Amino acid sequence: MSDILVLGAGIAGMSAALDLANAGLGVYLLDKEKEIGGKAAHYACKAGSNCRKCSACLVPYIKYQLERHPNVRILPFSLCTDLQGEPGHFRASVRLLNEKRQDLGAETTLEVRALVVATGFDLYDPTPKEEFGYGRHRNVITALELEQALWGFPALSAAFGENLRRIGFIQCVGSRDAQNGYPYCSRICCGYSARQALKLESDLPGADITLFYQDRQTFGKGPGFFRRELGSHTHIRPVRGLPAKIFRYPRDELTVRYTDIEQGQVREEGFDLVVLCPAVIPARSGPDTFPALGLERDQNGFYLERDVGVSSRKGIFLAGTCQGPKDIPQSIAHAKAAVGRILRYLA
Amino acid sequence: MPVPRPSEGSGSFFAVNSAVLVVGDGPPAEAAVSALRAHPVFWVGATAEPGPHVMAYADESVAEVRGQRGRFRVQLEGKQGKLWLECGNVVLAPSLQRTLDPSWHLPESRLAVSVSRAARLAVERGPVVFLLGGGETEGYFSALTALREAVCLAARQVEVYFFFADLGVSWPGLEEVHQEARRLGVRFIRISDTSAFRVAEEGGFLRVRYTDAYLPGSPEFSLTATYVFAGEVGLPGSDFAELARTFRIDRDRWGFLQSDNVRLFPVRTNRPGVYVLGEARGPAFAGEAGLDAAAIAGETAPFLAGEILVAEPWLRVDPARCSFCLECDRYCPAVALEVHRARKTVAINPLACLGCGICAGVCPEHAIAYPGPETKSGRRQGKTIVFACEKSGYLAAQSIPLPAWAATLEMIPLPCAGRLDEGMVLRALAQGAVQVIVSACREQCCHYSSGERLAEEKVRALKEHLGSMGLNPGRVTLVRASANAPREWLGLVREIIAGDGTGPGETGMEKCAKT
Repeated sequence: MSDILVLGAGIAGMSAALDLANAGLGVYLLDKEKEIGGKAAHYACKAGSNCRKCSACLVPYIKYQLERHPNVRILPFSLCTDLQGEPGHFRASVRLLNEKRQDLGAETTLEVRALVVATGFDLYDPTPKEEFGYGRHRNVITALELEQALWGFPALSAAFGENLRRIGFIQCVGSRDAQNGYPYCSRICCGYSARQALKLESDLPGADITLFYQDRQTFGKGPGFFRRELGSHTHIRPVRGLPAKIFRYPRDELTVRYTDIEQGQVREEGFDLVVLCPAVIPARSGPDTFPALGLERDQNGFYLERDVGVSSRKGIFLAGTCQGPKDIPQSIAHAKAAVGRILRYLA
Repeated sequence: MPVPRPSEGSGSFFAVNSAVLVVGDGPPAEAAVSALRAHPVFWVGATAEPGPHVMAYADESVAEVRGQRGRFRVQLEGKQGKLWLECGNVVLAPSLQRTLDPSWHLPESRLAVSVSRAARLAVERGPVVFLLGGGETEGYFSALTALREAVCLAARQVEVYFFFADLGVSWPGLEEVHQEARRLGVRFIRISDTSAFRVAEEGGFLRVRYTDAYLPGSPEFSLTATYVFAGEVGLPGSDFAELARTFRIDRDRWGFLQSDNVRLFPVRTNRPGVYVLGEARGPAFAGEAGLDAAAIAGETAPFLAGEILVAEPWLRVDPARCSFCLECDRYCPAVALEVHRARKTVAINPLACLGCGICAGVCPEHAIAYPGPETKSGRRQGKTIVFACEKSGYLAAQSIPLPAWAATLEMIPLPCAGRLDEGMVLRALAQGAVQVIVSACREQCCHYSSGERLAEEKVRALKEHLGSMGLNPGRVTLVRASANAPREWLGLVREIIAGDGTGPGETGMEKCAKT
């Protein structure tokens, strides 16, 4: 019998697995994908002339350590479908998937003393918000798509066209929106969109970037990252208020209609690329496909915690965004908290 | 240095002290003491009623710190004289200096106070005015208290006006409190410019005047309030510099107790075994100290066993070669060297050592052995040798399929680019390498705080050295890229290989053959 099964190998699951393995416990690290790393594995470095402290560069080294760790067994292409037994001796059924995430019919049972649930989050699908035309208009994309284009190949211009002069970011797509989305603040979007804007400014000299936002949220170290970092950039323009509509008619370009509340006027402006920042929502692969875990959820659908890192069921612990929206440092902190609880629980 | 007990595998157990020292006098320190309830805790600056696991030292302060993670020896100084404590880990949780947010320009008045006082005042009737998020910190320190108090007052039918520039609601549950306040009739009014807002005391009331720039013609409004509650801003306390000096940890450019390096976020400092939490590391929501404290409890939990396994091999100092010059202690980012001045010896504490090898690179006597692949011998004709930090460039290169032109690259991973020593580069050139590239982390991103700066200095010195030997200094170059920037890394390396037009010049072998 091994000691711990970690469900999900994103930044939280990987941090928890590494700390547990370093403490001498045997760890199974399970993920439905081929490679561990989760969403954060394809987040780009957003540094221009200096580091913007996004923390995404921590992921590859944690992965590198885990792949060489004698106490860790990585189980890619796997899905936990059932959980039997009692706290201290769980039996988890694990089924193998293929690259298309289809069930291959093979099943094994893992016997473990405790479980870490680190199933992460999903991003809100902006398609139902028809006013933004996501999925209909070319170059209306999500921030995750931009992140992946900044990370790798092909280059930005190959993905979204040569002529990227006017770029817009729209915050709170589905967040802080009790009517048509989710009522809570997603916590991470102000931070990453400010950093993406700074990155685009240095990668595309001369491009004009507009950030549509509701409230500048707090993130990063030191006072007021948003104002401090964006205040002195002439090519980045924060605009308070969220746009009402994006359309391509009559002019054949992305036209954004928004209210300039400082001037009290409705404006229409052309853009070459519009980046939507969707809400962080409970993972569909989490609560719905693991009913056997029997964990309670909060009013927003995230797993409910009794204390930091402790789920509603004895022997099952929570790490990272499956408990609520978190940035990378907060996910790591949450994973470390779960590790502390497990070490004391098993002692 | 503690005496190791060998384990069955490749490593040794070291006896450690499970006690934790907490320094601080506010709610963050209370959060730390409560999260560390499995450990014996020494609490310097104790304010609350300590639990049975706590030894409180309310009037003492830290005078001196010796030892390393696992076995710190800390001297306290107080009215009753001095005493020494032993602990395995340290948590620094001093409180900030808080003041009323100056951007609202409030008058001196007992009716215009901080939001944290709102709960303690018996507010009978309104209207009450809240002011939040006007300064640089976007309401970090007070958002939670202000919104909760506004809800409480509105529920008691008190008229509440809530002025704000930015409403920081990213803390879990806060947006729900904000919506609740709106439902209860709190009037939220956004201010674009806090200088358009004036408060003056008038006969037992406060007169509040403001212009609304969002309405056409910017009309002026005025209201009479019973109380004005404003947000707070916090600055590092006067004791922060002293604490950083005593514990030998770095501060950031604002003076908070953690350098601005993503490798340390959220609770680590450059020194293993010394943690920082909540607002002491930067502006934070009140609840963040709880998450940080739980994370620290996770970091210290292995110490509860009383012994820690350290995997082989770790760095060791060869006493026969050591000249006690203390270069290693000067450069070690983790303060991991145990210096015995009386005996004139140094030893590396394996619990505090991060394994960067910087000490081995700076030791002039080569008294510190670092087992690594850089000692490989062989012929390297026509090759480009890349000494790559295995936290950044090495991983970037591994994360993508390399193009055909990269076949001439030979990657040699180093634990940190700061590990580099001159001999490694000269040897590679002597073995026939055309080019040597040193791949380091970006500025302020080094896993070991100072390694990338050290690598830069070493490359500069090497270039001068090569120039003075009559070799092309362009044959050694430093590149910087993160592990998650493979395209950037590849572009930088390609630029160097393609050359700047001057060509790489003679190889080391050719030079040797001539002389």
